[in-house]
Amino acid sequence: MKQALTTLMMLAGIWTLCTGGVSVGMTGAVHQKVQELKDKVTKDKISKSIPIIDSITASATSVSTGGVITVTCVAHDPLGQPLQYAWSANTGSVQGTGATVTYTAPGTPQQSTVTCTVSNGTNAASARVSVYVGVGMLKWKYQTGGAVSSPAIGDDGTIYVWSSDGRLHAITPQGIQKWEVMTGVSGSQFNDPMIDDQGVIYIGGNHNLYAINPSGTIKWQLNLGDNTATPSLGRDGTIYVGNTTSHNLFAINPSTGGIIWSTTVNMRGSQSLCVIGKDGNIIISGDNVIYAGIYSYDTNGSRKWNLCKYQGYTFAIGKEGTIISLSGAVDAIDPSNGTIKWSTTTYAMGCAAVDNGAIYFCGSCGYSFDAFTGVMFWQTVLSGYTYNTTPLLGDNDKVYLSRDTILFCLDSRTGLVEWQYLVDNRLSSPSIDSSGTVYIGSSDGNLYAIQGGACWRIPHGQNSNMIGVTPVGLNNREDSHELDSTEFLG
Amino acid sequence: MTKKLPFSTFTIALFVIHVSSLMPVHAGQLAVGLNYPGLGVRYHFNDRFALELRGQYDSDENVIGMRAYRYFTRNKLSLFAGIEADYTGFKLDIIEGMGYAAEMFAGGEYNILDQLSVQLDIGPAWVVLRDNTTTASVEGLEFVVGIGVNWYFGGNR
Repeated sequence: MKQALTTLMMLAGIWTLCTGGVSVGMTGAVHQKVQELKDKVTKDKISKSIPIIDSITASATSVSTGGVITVTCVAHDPLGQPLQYAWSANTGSVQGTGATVTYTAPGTPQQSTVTCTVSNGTNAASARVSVYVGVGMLKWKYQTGGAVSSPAIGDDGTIYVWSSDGRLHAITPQGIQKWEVMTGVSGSQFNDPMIDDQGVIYIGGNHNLYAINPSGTIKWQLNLGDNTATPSLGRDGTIYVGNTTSHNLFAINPSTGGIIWSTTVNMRGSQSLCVIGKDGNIIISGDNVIYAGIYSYDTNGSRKWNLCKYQGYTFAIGKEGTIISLSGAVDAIDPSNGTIKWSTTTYAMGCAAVDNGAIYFCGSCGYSFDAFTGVMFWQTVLSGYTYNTTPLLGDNDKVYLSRDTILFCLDSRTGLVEWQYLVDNRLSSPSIDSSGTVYIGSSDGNLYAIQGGACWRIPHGQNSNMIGVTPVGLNNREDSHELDSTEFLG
Repeated sequence: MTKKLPFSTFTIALFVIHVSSLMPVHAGQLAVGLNYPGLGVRYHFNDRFALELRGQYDSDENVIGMRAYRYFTRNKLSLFAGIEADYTGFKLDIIEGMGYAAEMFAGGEYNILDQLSVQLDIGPAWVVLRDNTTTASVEGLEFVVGIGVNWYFGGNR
């Protein structure tokens, strides 16, 4: 027995020399094996551990051409291992390393994808974020039963559009219908609604002018005996509207719908031919052979002057009251006497938009002129054809132009196309709300809510008077936050 | 906590085992033992055979099992050999599971007093463990040293 015990002790001694010791108690032996098992499981988990990408976000999902945004990837490793980040973009360029990098957009409108690959040294995962370069973003669209007019936006953000099936629609900024009312007005796309200070909506067309309460009930309707144009709101709230065949201009009481006065003017068209000048006078155009020209009436219906040089189509009123008339060319007219202050031979269509010192309009191109001298600031080649639409001036030096089926957002200082949005059919004039969302109707039956979102700009002075900015790669987008699912590379 | 004994321990152990003296062991005795790191209750059926139910506890693992002793000498230093079978459970931060162990051992029990003895044994143990969270498992040989103190009650002297 002693011999066997001695042999056992010797074996244990050899074991001790080989392994560093023997275990004390069975728990000691189990502990050794538990540690082995833990090492094995840990090693196995590390070999299978894949970084988890929690999010990848861009500081803006749209950016102007050449603009810069930051992109951030938030990731973690299940075992807490350190992570390395690798970035790439299919267009444009990425600067920096780590979890946050800078992305510089390419010089042409397109959709770009920025990819982040996160590695823990063993395995990797990647995620992508789409960045829309120079392309507008669709927030929502609202379908109607006919071609959609230019939107009018109430003080509470409600968007009012008329559709050519005769309905006036009230829509929330989220794209949800509040109400719709059948007006009986049908026909042209360009029966644009107008809103007064009380929130009453006016819509003209066919033989009637309708006043509709903000709740959607008809306040009154007035038969004017002929097709009516889009009405205009006088300083004292009086509604002025012309009709197109019997050539009358009406002043209407907004409370009762009663006619205050009317006068005969030779005019035509169904768009906004009647505007109110800075002095409160009514400017209206006509195209009769005898009376062709532009007319100014005071609020009593007395003609102040008329300019019979040629037919006038549309007007915009500048800061000093100067009337900017577009009628194939551009004329700046003195509102006090109807004399032409300056004119250009630049082909112009639709209406102009006027800010403090510049006018914007479309013709063969998109144009900006000095409102005081008629000197061109810039022109930008734009695809499509301009119908009778009005440019829209937005915040942050943006001007929005609709040409045929494309809405363009341009830098008002340089004419650089910041983004564009393509629809299936002819667009109306755009409107914009306080959040910067642009609303625009289309003959395809939809009202579109579009967000540009790009806040990065070419420094002022660069690309000024630029000619030949041709949009390419129209890729409309319909998601504001496209985020790809994580895909595993390891 | 270290689980290994240095090689010098065996030199001492060999010395202890080779010290012989005569001390009768009585059949029918019941002994309560403190072993490292646990407790055990041993019953001597006769001078040659005894069974022990023992449990050991540590922070990450615990063991419960049965030992069978075969005594070869009945002196102040009694030499014995035996087998042990255990069930074990363990729980760490990333693994949790159970397993089994089997050991053959040999050693000696030295009676300090009539009712008090110390014992030392050593032997190879085969340990099998399985992680319940991943189904990973390990198994292998370990040499185990057992040390303990026994207090005897009753029995026929």
